[in-house]
Amino acid sequence: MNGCEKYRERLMEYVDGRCDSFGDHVAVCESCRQAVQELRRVRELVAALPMHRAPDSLAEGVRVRLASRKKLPWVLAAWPRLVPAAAVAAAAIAALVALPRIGAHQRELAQAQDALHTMKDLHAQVQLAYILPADSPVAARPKPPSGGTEYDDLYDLDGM
Amino acid sequence: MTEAGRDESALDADLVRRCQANDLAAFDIIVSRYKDRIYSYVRRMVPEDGEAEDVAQEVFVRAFQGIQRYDGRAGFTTWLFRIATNLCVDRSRYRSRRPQSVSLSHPHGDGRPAVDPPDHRYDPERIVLQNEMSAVVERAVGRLSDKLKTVLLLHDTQNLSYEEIAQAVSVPLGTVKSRLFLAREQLREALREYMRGSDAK
Repeated sequence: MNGCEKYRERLMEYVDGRCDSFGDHVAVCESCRQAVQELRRVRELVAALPMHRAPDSLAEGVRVRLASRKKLPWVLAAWPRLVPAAAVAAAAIAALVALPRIGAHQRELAQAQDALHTMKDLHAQVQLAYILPADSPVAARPKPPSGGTEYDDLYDLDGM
Repeated sequence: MTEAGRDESALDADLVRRCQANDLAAFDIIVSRYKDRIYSYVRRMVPEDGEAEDVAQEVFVRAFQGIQRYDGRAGFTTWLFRIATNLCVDRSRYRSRRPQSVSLSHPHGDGRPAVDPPDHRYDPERIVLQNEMSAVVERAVGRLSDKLKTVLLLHDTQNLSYEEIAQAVSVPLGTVKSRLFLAREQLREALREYMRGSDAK
């Protein structure tokens, strides 16, 4: 087999009687000829291994297992076939549950955006009040939100 | 395919059709036709005696459960050995992850009993063990990796073609030839002394 390793697939086919054309090489290559003889002997030895006879209990064991598994709930037995349908059903249920919540979230989002715009307006007015002259009508200081004591300090900037 | 092979395939196809119509008697015939071949293959892939029977039973149970999906693209024998191979490889992986224990009845770990109890019944395995060459070959095959052993056993003891093995093991045809070559090469090395001795006799 020296240098003939590249022929291993053809050699194997020749040993198994599937590639007669390799015989030309075997006829002139002593190491391949010996390999073929030994590999054929190996094949004969393996093929001559006796069949292990199955225990008598095997067939009965199969019947018992089949009987016990037939008692499984039909949904488990049919599970592989039900997977696509189950996936579609799960997606539909998820959509039904999620849609009202999406509506509620959209309303909450709109309210939050309104509040943000209000805060931006207030912030802009505060900035104007301290950039423009005090007597400018545009610089009228914003009034703190009504009844909110916690905002009083925030807008009482005179003491700073 | 030989005429006998065609007859066997036609019989298998008929039995499969009957099984697909939930005919349990037809499946009993399939078990009876294939139990020795499947058990023999599994026994060499999963050397523990009790485990081999367990795996072989599971092969037939899985076959029955999956027979509705069997579409005949692969031969029935090939399909059955594909199930067997997958289960054997799974069992082998499970065993390799499990902590090893030494059985008192099989301390060698290869299925050989510690003490061969007297058995007056006709026992083919006993006769095999008396045949030194067979026992040596059996042990050498047992030492091959699962990948090599699968291809070797399917080809040389179950008479599956390269193409059928490629389908059963889900590997390209070239891989089948290459694994078969490696398996036989390793056996050639392991058995060289024995082959010379036996040839001399």
